[in-house]
Amino acid sequence: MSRTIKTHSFWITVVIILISSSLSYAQVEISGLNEAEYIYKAAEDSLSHYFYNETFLRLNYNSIEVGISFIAELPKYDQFDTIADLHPNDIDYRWDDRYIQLNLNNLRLRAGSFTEFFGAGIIMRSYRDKTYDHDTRLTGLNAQVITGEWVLKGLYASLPDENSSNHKDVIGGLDFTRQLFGVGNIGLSLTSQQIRRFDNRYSTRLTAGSRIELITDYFDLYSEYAESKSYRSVSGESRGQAIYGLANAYINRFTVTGGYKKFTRFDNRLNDLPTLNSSEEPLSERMNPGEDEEGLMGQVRFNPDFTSEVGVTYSEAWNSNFSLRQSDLFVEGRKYYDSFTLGLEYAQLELIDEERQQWQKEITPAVLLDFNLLSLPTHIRTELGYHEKVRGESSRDYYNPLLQFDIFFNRLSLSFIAELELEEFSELSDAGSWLGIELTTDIISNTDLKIFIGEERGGKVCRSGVCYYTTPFKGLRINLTTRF
Amino acid sequence: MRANLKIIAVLGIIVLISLLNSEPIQEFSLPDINNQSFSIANHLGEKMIVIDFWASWCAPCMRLLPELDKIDQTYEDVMVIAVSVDNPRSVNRAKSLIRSHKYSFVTLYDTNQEIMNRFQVTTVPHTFLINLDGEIVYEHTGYTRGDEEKLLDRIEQELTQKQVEPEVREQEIERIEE
Repeated sequence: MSRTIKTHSFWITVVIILISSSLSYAQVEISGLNEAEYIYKAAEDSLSHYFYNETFLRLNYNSIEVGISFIAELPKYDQFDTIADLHPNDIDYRWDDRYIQLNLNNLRLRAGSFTEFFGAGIIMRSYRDKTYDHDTRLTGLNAQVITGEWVLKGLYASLPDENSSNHKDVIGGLDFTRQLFGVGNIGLSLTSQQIRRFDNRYSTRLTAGSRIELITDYFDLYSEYAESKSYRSVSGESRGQAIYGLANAYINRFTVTGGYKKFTRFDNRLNDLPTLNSSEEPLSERMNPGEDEEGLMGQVRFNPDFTSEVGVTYSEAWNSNFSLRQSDLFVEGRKYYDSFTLGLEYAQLELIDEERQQWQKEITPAVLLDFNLLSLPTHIRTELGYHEKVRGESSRDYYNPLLQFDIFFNRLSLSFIAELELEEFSELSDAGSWLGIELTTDIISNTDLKIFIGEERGGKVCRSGVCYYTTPFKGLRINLTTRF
Repeated sequence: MRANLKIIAVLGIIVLISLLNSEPIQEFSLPDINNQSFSIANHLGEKMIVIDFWASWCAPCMRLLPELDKIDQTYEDVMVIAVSVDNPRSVNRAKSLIRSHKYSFVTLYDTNQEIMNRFQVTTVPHTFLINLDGEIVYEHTGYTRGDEEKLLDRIEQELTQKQVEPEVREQEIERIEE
């Protein structure tokens, strides 16, 4: 008898869970998300077939929350993957997010994995971006005290070392924000990081910062200042500095914005520095953001009413010896009519790198149209990008036209995307091309299906009425997302 | 491996149970545009609530916001809450957009995207309608011209079911009588 009970102990446990869940489901709240993705990559020397599934489950019981996720990569899709043979490390299944959280009136305590930020993310921002495979989530303890007047955050956690997943870096931090007599708030932040060195010793990085936010009906200002000190690192002791400010003035229907940034030796993988330009481009690919950059941004927006708006944004950035320079101009206008919406955009980005004798210019005018075609909502976007690149003695310029056509019927949306790269319009047959079709629908109320076939260049995409970021791709991609 | 499979099986059963149950909205608090804490728990049951997750870099989101503002101004029994999911580096731009347009609805800032994850939102805009019982009765991803009509139809349906006359109907009746 006892052997029978032991043998079936698992199923007995399941029955107990079923019964107790049925009796207490009104108190236990269960929710979650399952994302499944199948990819067929059309490349001669790639693995071709990839499958990824992530299941996240959250249980809430009174003030306790428990979260856990399970990931299966069979194998993991890597946009740069060129291996033809299946490597053991590419097949992986693991428990990922695991945490328990206590939510009381003014207090939140969490043990396990978490994301967190201080201020505008300049001093500390831990986050995960699946699209770009960025993951700086922390594992440890996180506490927040939130009252009507102030907020206090504290953390002590670890994250995998950048160069070795078998080792960990450690971070501790405190962040305090307080209301400022009803006109804004002030904040103070302090972090201490222990970063593993190549010789298995640890360097220390201390960061301290302050910020102020002022808010009135006609004017608001956000400003943040931070200093860092690193010691016991391989390169010796160093100090860094970060200054960031953004101000807006609201004058009738006009909004005038000004911004300033300056970062000196302030690069760290646990911060997220503002680019302060409309294209979100860093100053240079050969230098980490925050190492040495300074910049200004100005913007004017005019909203005469809800049916129209115009905006101009211009920014410049440079490094300390002016060998790196960037300018970014973005102009947009939108007019909402009864039967259609018209949008016009112009973007111009220029980058100069004197040390590499490199100069780059991108001009992208675009026209956007929303209307009803045979009573079906339709969106058209046309762009004619022009790119010019000079590197040393060589130069190249080309056009990059894009046409996107979205149409919606009932619960289904279809998107056609055609993008070309050509040096002369007379040489259309020699043009590089990216052609793709995307179908999006909700199979049932809580399950979305997205199928993409073709090629895409990657970047920010607003398609079928939603926006997301994607990486360059060629092949077939099927995404199934279920919420419960 | 066997232990993992058993745990997966248990989790799968729990998921199946949850699919059979109607889940009320989970209460949450987020800072508003003035960085003051706003708790949805204080407003559940008082009015129907439209929650829209949006981002300043999302063009369809920008087209939806004026429609939500009209709903907020038209219906006394409906509260619109627009939750920005901009990250810390772009949240100030999101606040500036709201202030410059002078929208009347409540705007909250989910900078860490915690509430967005709790609502299982993966793309924006994503709109929910919560009834007076605190249940999600409408959900829609994306925005194209005319989508606001579906939301309005659902609001009218809920108002009719709860036999709560919307303020706009009273105003229309008064106007006709005049």
